Amino acid sequence: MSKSGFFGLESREVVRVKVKKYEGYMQPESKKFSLDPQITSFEMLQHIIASAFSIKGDFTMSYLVQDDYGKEIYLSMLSDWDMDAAIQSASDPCLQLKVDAKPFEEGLDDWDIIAPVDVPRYKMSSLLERNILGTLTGTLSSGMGKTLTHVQRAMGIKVPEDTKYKAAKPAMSDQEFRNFLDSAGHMVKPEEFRISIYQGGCEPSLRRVAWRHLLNIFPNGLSGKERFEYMKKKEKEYLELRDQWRKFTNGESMSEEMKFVTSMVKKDVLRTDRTHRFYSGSDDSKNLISLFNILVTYALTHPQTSYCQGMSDIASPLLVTQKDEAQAYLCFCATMKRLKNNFNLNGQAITTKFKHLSDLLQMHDPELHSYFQEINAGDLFFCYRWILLELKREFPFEDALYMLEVMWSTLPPDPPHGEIAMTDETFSIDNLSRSPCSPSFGMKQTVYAKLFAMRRNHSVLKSNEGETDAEKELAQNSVNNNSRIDSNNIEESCPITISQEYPAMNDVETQKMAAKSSSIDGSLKSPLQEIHDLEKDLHIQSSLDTEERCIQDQPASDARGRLTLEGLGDTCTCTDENVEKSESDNEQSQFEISLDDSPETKLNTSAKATALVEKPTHSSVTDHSNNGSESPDLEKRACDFSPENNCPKHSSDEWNSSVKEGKIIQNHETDSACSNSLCNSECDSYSEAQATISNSMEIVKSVDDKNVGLPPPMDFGCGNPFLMFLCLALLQQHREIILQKKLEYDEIAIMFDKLVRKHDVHKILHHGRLLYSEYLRTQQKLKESSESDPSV
Amino acid sequence: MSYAYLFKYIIIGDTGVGKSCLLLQFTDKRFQPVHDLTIGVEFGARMITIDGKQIKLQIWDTAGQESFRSITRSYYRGAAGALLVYDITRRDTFNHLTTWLEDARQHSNSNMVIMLIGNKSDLEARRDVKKEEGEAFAREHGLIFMETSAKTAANVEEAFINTAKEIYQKIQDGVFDINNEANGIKIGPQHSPSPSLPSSSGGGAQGSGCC
Repeated sequence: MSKSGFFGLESREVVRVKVKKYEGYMQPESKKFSLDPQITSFEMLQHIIASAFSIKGDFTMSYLVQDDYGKEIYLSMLSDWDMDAAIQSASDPCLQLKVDAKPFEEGLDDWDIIAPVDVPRYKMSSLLERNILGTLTGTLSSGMGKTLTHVQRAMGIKVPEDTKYKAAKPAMSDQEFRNFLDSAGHMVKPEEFRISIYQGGCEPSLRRVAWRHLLNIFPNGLSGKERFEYMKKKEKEYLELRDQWRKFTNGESMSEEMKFVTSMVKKDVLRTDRTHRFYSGSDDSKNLISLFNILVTYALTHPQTSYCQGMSDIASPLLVTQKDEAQAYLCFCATMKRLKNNFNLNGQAITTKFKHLSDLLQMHDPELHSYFQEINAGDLFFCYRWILLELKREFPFEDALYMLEVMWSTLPPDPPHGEIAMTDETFSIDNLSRSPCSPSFGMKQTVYAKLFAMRRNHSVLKSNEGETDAEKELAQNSVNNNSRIDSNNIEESCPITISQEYPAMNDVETQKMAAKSSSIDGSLKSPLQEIHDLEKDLHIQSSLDTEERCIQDQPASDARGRLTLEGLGDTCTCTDENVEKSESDNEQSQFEISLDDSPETKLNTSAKATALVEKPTHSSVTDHSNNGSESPDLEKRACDFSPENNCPKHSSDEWNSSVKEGKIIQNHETDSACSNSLCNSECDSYSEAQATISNSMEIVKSVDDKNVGLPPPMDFGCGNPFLMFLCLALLQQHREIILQKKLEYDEIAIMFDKLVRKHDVHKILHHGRLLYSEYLRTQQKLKESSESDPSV
Repeated sequence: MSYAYLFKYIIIGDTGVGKSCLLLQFTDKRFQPVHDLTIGVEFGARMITIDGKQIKLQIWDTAGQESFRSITRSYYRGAAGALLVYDITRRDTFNHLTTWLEDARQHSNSNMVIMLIGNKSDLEARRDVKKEEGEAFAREHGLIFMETSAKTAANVEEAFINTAKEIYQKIQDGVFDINNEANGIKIGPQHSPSPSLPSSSGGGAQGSGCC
């Protein structure tokens, strides 16, 4: 924040603030405090006020100023800019704030109020107290929820659908979020942060901030204050870019490209999420214009990608969540970095994704797959929108926000190097001022043909570059430095992965729930059976070396039968116990953390590991009862369920490379890659299991045959494997109808078209998580076996 | 529902000309002014009766933008009919017809029946393309032509049905090989013709082009 001397005023050390809170008919309350304008952000101020008055819900702030006639009026304070203005113009002798404890826009329940303390130098005792209290009540009520469910089940009361598929953990709260930051606001536990989001999403009020982290807006190692400054800087940059092209929009000087882009975007913005309150109203409302600006700025500053239909759907939730054009633009750039290939004219990315989805379906549901083949629906084109928009349109808007954040959390942290790029490499500011881009733009061509030609040229350029980079990178990363740190210290033996790998999302919680849930939707292909399959698999893996069989063909009863044999398997694997253990132990959950690149984190490795085991008291994450940190169980658990564990360096970098689109990854020093964990003697059974696996690749193949043929996470679904599983879940949700009624291609397509924005997010995520964790486990096993047997 | 024939249609044309609205009006008999922009392809289906035969129209409503074409090109294959739509209030959408037509001809079977549709005829005041121009274009390229309004439903029914009649006629004439599904025609599971009903009248301008 650079407030100092903005209006020639001296920089103020302290601003005194008087706040009056109004809430309904209640007596107004007053509080006084001081703040340091150099380090206080608007978000922080909101937080301070929420804490000071213990406001649980939504509120608005306004500040008192004298207008030109000397009359006192309240102006609303909605952003950092407003706060700056208030401090500059109305803080002498003190800033007078009015707080109205009610939503500023009725019904818009995702607006953001409480944001985490970006500059945690501010530690108010009341804040801390509130944290602990909040967590306690959270724990209590979640405990009660469980009891209630048990009672309901015992009494034979049918559990409502939405409870059955509820997330394993409550949405991440503001308090919980702060556990992932250190005292200066550095994001120090990106992996844990992601795992937590994966399990339960985040509260709507936290989205604005949490999404910036999920979407990799920030470079590594920024403190809260630095993040704030970074955002301000980027905001300024954005406004400059935007104003560049806006100069030309009202006149003859508009280039063909600009005309094309602006008319195209306008048409689409007017039909994007218009049923949502945020975009409803007149066609020239502020929010629609913001969406328009974001898309046009992006298209003009990214000539390689330009504008394509579908982008407005991707940008829309970002703007709704960020509520600020510039910030939404940053989020959009970050999202498009990953998704722009979807919009490539060559259609390669989309084709690959279709192929992967088809393969996945074949492996998991051969019956449905062959039915699709039979009716010539094998192309799965009716899933096009799902893939292009990453399912954004398949759920009710608010649910889609939840689904998106859960999906993003499965992607590896991928912070930009330096700063996030706001234009593509070929862009220069002259592009915006030059009129007609190319003389070949004749009116005889369609706009599509124009765009096609334009983008084809760019794409060719781009794809060539991309390949070279990727190759370079491969060569560079071909060194396998799977270094390990052996340690007797239990804390240190927590699995630690190299930064930026796919978070280990073995959703133990969900599996537990599924195993317990008494009535399971048949169309889900019963999660219970999935677990049985898994156990059976593991069992077979350990005892039935010779048997090659197809799991899917076995009826569930058979699976149960096999379960009873479990104890006989003398080479029972660690994972095996683990599944059982986790099923019996309600509260345990599995975490693993990864190091990021910052030197400081490296130093703190063991400290962090400790923190991981001894969860901070106010952590409302899932492992309330992680007190058994010294038990070998924990250690074993830690050994498994973490596919990235022990993974060789090169593969980590390969994963990165695919995600990072050909950029060179920052130095992962070998010494930081304490990927390790379990080389201690306590983990005999694990080693044994590993030996078993490595002995015979074929066995592994037969074991998890549903997933074995699938590409690794960095390739599967072009780097977003979770999306593939969600699509599979969507298909499988309706398999019975499709198969029983023998629906034809168009009927299936029409059915899914009608289901737009109507899918049940909890059901789908629940099913998707189960499938995904199974997949990750297979990947882990495959990796281990290929490591121990290089000939495979 | 059993049908004697299934005809596959595609709807093509610039973005925002009202393709999805035409489809919705035909299948659901309603108009939705603010429609989600179509991503990839959407589908519709309706049963009609021609010459006493139940015919199922399977309609593929494609997105207008080029970026989807790598996928949507394949939609042309196996289409028996195409509705090529422009917006009478936007000349550029009319100017682009040639490109659309080339694209369609190039990727579909040569017998595909193409109906040219000038949509938004309710917006007479904002008309930018004369009806005669549409007719002339259709004549020149051997298309059937009709102006419609997805909003008021004027001629919508007729546009879809007249196209079907044309296809049906081609079947009768032996132009289409109905055993080849790549032609966009499928014989129904139950081939016996259902009790004949009077076919929907094909009112409206049926400017049949040269054959």
